[in-house]
Amino acid sequence: MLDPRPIAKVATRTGGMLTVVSPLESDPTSLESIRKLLLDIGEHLDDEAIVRLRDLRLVHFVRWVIVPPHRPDEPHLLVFGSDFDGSLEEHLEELWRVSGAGLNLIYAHCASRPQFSGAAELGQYFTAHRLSTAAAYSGTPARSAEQIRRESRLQAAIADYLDSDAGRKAVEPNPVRGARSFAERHASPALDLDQPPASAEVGLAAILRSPALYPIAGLALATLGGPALLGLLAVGLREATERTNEQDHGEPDRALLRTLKGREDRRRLVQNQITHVVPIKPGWFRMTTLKVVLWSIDFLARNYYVRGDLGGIISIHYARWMILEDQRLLLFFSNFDGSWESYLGDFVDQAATGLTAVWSNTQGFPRSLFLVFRGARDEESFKNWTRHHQIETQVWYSAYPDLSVQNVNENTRLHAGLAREPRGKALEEWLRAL
Amino acid sequence: MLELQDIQGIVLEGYGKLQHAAFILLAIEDPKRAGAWLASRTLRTAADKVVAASTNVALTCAGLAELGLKPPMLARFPSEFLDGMVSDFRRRILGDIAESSPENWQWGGPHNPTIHVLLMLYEQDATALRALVKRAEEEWTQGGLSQVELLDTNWLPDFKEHFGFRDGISGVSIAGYDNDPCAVPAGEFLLGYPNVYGKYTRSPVIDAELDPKNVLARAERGADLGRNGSYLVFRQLEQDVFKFWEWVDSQAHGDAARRSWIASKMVGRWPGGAPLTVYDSAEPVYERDTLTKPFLYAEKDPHGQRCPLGSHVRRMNPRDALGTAFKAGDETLANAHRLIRRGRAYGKPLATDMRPESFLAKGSDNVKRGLHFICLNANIERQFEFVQQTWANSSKFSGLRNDPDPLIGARALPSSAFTVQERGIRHRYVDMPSFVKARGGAYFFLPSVRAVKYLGSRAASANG
Repeated sequence: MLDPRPIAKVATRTGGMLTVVSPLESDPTSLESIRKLLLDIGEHLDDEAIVRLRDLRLVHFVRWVIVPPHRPDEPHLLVFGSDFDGSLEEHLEELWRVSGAGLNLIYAHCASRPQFSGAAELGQYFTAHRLSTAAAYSGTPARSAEQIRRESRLQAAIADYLDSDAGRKAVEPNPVRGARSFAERHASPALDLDQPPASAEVGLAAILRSPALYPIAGLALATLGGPALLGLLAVGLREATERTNEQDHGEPDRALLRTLKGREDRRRLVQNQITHVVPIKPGWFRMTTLKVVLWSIDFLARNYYVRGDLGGIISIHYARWMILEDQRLLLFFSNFDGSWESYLGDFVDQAATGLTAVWSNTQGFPRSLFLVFRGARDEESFKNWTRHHQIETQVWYSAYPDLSVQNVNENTRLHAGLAREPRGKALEEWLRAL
Repeated sequence: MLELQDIQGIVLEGYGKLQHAAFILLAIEDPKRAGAWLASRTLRTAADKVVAASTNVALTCAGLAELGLKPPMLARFPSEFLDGMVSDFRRRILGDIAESSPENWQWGGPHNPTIHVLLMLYEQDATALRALVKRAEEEWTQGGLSQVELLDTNWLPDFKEHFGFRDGISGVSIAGYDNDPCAVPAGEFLLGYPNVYGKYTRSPVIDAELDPKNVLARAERGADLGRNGSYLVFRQLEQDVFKFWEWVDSQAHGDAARRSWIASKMVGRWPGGAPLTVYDSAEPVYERDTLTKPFLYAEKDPHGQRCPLGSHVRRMNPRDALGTAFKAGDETLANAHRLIRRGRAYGKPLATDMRPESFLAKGSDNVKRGLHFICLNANIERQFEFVQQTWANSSKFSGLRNDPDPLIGARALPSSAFTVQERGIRHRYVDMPSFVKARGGAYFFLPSVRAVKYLGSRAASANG
């Protein structure tokens, strides 16, 4: 099952994220029917369905989710989210080719009842309803889904070969050469073995990751430090004077929990997802603070956290925050490894500062101090708050559901080693990637 | 300080001197009489230092309801306790699939009778235990309860478990009880004390007017039914000893030394219990401190070349080897997921000398044997369920690809593997079958001594 496209094309990811928000028809029958339709699609990802997501070669993750209104006069929103490779045009063209009829069935439930007759029309509609990303992170940056799949097949083939006595004997004297010659003899999967895969550590990331430049980074921090400190003081004042709206959510609603857990850990305990929607606190001050914080996180995610961990968390494939300005809602999508409990535990144990800085600007969050203290460190309250604002994701698709972030990154290391012939410490690292 | 006289003894002591135990699962037939029975139990508390007959008792959610706790009060308990061990979601995360499906369970499954009470009895010798059980049986029958299941135990030679490995070596130290600078906060195991986050785990606090006699401790919003109590997880795990050694033997091509090496790598300790992290080349001659020597992973064995990343003991407590940048000596991350283990083996060993060659010579027999796994924790979801899902069942633990816990992990992927990391090319053993299956299980609330009295006397004096 080789992709006819040239190797160069699959080697690097120049993709993006697409979020499309469409108000739904408010009629309850129509709402029930769209939910049923989406759940049906979500349940039958492996079968021949009207939306054949598994035929998409250019995506990593896709979801459709119905966001219920937070104010009575507002409509339900249908939100589509994807992480794609290549250009937006290519992504939409493929989406149309694979699932055109299904898309028309889905979008017939939207208030404006769009019907598409081709990729161009779909593109027009999706662009018009596109929501920008406020902050995004990927633990597996700079790789296309095709590269991730091919590197996984490469790893599996080499691993199987090494399990055999013959393979082990052949490879042992010079592991890299041995593995490479095996990979060359088995041309599949088509990967360029001479050219190491592209690294995400380019541009600013390479600079920020270079220890030689730490003094300069220090200088920049010191310059930014003054205004930042003033900002934090202002937030502190706000926290002290704001009518506290911390809620004791207690145990999350059992029916909600049952719905959410009913859709978790469905596939061999490898990957899971979250869709989370929470109203932003009132006033321009909170909105501005939130935007500054998200901008900073996005900057760091693009230019510093490019090695597969976000401040110590190694389980995030793709995650993003978006702001729905009109509804004053903060939207969070995450595709991660392992259980909800372990992901949220990582939040509390390793990323409480950043997450408190984001979510303390939203309703009901456990009380924070100077923007970054307390908040998410209140473990049980934070988890209950998260569950309380989590919503059902009706359709969720992963292009490589059996791989963890660590697997993806190790596979790339394995692939890169075949081209680079590592020695010393790098060789030890390469051997561990087997 | 812990309120020892209010805490049931089994939380803090494993009763190692009482090697004979029986676990009895009971159903309440007459709540009024059962209440009186419950209130009049003499429970061994953590303050008692006696070495004689000991009794502890725990209740399921159905048991609490039977004793008259109404739904709004039950709702103060965490959802995992209310749901119980068997739900579609928990099947997936606990690995209760295929052979371990609750439909096939001997007790606790959807086709088995409802369980209300767990009675735990401990004695010094078999005769004394028989007498204790007999007396208890008369009392529970008189007290309006009936036996659902009587689970026997069997203390194996040399402190071993059925596969032939020494068990029960490293327990958790508890702050305020054990004199250990690395002790885990008591709130991880007991309600009413600060946990690892410096917070109080949510405790079932009931309306104050339900406790007019002030039997329970007062909390901010009522009477604290949870204080000094814990949650007890019980799973009956059947072990196929011959299948285990037969598979290991086939991987070792019949070589006895290699066989023992592979099995020890799977466990993370040598058969006698010496940790691989400390003694990696061969099983040592045992001295006084061989078993108790403290060890960590981050500095000495970050990549699992001594004790494999996927081995059973490393998964059950990864110590300081969690996260990206291991902070050597820092066990904070792992400490949020510790369990107090109080399990006991059951069934005759396949061979009394507990040696692999004897097991292999013996072949498969029809004797049911295994472990009555019992653990205590304050937060089932963050502790027991997390460990079961994220550390035991996940084939991605520690960056692995296809490796569940070799002993207890569910085989969710088509071909499960066990990988032995080495300095050169790793060894990987594939098509590893499962050697353990669940035969029963339930979540229990282990109330404080006061809460047992409260629940019992309240049911006994209820009208109608």
